[in-house]
Amino acid sequence: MKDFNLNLDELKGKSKNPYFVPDNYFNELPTRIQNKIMSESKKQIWGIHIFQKVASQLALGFMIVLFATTAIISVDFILSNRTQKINDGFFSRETEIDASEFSEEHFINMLLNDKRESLKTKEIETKHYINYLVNENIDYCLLMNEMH
Amino acid sequence: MYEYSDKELLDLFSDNEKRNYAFNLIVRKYQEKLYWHIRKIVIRHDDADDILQNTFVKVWKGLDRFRHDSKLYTWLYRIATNESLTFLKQQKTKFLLPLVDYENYLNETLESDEYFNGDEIQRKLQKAILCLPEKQRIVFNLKYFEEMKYDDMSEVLNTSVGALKASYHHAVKKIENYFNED
Repeated sequence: MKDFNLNLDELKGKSKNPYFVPDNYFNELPTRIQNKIMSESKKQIWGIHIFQKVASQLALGFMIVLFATTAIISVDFILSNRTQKINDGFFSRETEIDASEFSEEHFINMLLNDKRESLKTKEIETKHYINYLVNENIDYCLLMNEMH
Repeated sequence: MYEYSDKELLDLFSDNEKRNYAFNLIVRKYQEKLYWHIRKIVIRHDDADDILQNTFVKVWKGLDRFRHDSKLYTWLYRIATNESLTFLKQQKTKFLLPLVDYENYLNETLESDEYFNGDEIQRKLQKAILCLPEKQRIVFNLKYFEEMKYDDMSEVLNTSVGALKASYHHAVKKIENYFNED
């Protein structure tokens, strides 16, 4: 290993760098690097300049889009609320169920009950009148004659 | 011509009026060292030229943020090394080459390189170096050709001195085996 290190050192001392470059390469390189940096900063400045020019238009456009979006969302929200009131699934379903529960038999029973109730009320009212006439000692025939 | 120290160059760069002048001096001071470092990694002159230019563009952009806790020259070497390794990675992805094929590709590049005029032994040594893994190759080149101190190399490659010494030792052994095989 040591011998080989010596050989490597010998090899290094024997010849110079085996690679070489085109003529004047290192003389021209600083100028080329400066040019590259200049062109890169020009690109950057151009980008910033363009952005500054269109920034106000972009802001205006953005505001219009924002306004339009807000308007569309608001209108949509209002319309959806109205529709909900008219077509509320719960109410229409309940109505359907109630209507389906009615039948002809229900209807007849309901009418008969109504008639019975009115007869009962009339009976109570008559009793009440008779009691009143008896308590006040009023002659019914005389009362009828005077009324006619 | 008077050669400024790194500290003088950085002080000059911090002065807004002398910024371009200072950068130009930095380029002139380090262009050759960085070029040869990059060239030995990527082999082709045109690739080395592109990488070197990109390296200095990055240096220009980052010099404001350069922290003085590391040396300017190790910082420059670190950027150049990272740019070179990124380039190699892109090449492998571009040509979908596995590691072994990429070594062959670099060997072929060396064979056809019009900017290589080494003798037979030099060519053989370069081929042996190209057989090393990337990081080991960089360690070998920095130590053998550029005679960089291990401490500085440690800053460049962000690796411990012990690991670098071991890496160099292995690299020498592999090159020795390469020479003995033929």
